[in-house]
Amino acid sequence: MKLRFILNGQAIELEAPPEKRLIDLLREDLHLTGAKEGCGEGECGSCTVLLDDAAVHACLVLAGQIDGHSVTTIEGLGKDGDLDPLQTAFIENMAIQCGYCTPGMIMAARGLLLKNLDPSEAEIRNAISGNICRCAGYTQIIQAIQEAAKAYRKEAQL
Amino acid sequence: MNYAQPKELCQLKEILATWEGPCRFVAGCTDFLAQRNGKPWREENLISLTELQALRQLRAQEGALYIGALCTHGQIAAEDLIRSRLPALAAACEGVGSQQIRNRGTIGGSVANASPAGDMYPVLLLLDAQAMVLDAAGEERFLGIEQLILDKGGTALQNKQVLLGFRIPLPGPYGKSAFGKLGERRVVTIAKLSLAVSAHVQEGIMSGARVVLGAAAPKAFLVEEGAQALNGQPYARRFSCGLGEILSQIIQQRISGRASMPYKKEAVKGLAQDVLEKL
Ligand SMILES: Cc1cc2nc3c(=O)[nH]c(=O)nc-3n(C[C@H](O)[C@H](O)[C@H](O)COP(=O)(O)OP(=O)(O)OC[C@H]3O[C@@H](n4cnc5c(N)ncnc54)[C@H](O)[C@@H]3O)c2cc1C
Ligand code: FES
Ligand code: FES
Repeated sequence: MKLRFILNGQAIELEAPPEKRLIDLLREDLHLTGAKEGCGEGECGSCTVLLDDAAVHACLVLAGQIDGHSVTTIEGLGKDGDLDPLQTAFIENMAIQCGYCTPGMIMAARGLLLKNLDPSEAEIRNAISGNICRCAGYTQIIQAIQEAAKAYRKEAQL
Repeated sequence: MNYAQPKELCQLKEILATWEGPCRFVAGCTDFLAQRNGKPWREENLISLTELQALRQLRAQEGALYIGALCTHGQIAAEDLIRSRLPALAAACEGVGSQQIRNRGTIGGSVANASPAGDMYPVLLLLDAQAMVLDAAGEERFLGIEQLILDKGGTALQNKQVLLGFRIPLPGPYGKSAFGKLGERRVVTIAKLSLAVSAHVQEGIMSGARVVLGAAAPKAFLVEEGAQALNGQPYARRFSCGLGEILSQIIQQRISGRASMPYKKEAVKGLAQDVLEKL
């Protein structure tokens, strides 16, 4: 099937079997290996990407289903070689240890901040409740998301 | 493998009329792909319903709410009309999986998947919903939600029958409803037991109550004895109507041989308190 969609802000066209999973399309065909496969069944969140600006599991989307839509992966964050405020905040707050969960965690947080630039701690916890981190610790992750939200708000005011 | 993702209902009808062999429909794929994880799979005819904008609509008309089968849990939970008039449905949708699942999983997929632990069917049964079904001949008809789900589990949908959506009678201004579930975790949890309760409360007295127990048997069911215990009683005294005890006895009768029975017969008492609190 010929797929036409927006990938990280760029319109692209590509031939792929419609029944292929989005995670495999991204990693195998497009060599975007930021999104990770952990469980393959919606439990761990490490494959999270944005589909039309909403966080979804790339392991549970068919390639055919992205035709005509927009997909954003961790590689699409940040502008002109600079890191996105979320990436910076994760580094500065040591919200990363092994890093396996991080791309998914950041994309889940990005999905939240696109809708709500001033989330409460409960709203942050809710947005990342489907993202499992086994080594860094959620306290730092939540702090990082709060700090990034602050940076986004500042950016929005400028 | 044939694959299609029609944008218009007329295109879907054409596919149903012309494609031969079994047709598999998919929506958010949160069940479909999760169930196939790591296994080779093939479908003769795969039809994604995700581009059918007509099935993403939510509208109130003539005292009823129409919810398209493709409405996601997140979309339903955020809808003001549902939050105010059908709080049990809003609560059930809000409690489904994680944000990613709620962004993608649909009410139609949830019902069609017919998991005994699913949260949508118990609430649709509570609210006396009807399912809108399209068949291979292009005919649309309504089917009571109870007839859609079979007693042994699974649905009554035949090959090429698609769920288009649900019609839910909107309760009057005195209608109240609530939903709660118990699982292994507080959030992102599959129900081990769920309970939905509704009642009209006028001048402080409850009437027309409905009580549904989910995840206790292969199919969620109405508990008439529970409804009777609430009817005619003051809303302010709903905690003393013995609902928890009644549900506990029903569980002992219905699933006497199951290993989970001793847990569920006790847990349901606390769940009844929680749900009545939210009512
Ligand atoms: C991590 C995780 C957590 C979950 N948590 C919950 C939870 O808390 N509560 C809960 O209730 N569920 C939960 N689920 C189950 C699931 O998310 C829901 O059942 C979901 O709504 C399914 O919808 P879908 O659109 O993704 O269906 P799909 O996966 O696309 O389809 C499911 C089945 O329904 C059929 N189908 C889909 N749409 C139609 C239609 N319109 N007409 C006819 N057949 C159709 C498909 O053929 C398939 O057999 C969870 C799933 C995962 C992976
Ligand atoms: S790999 Fe997709 S949720 Fe775990
Ligand atoms: S940083 Fe290792 S799993 Fe989260």
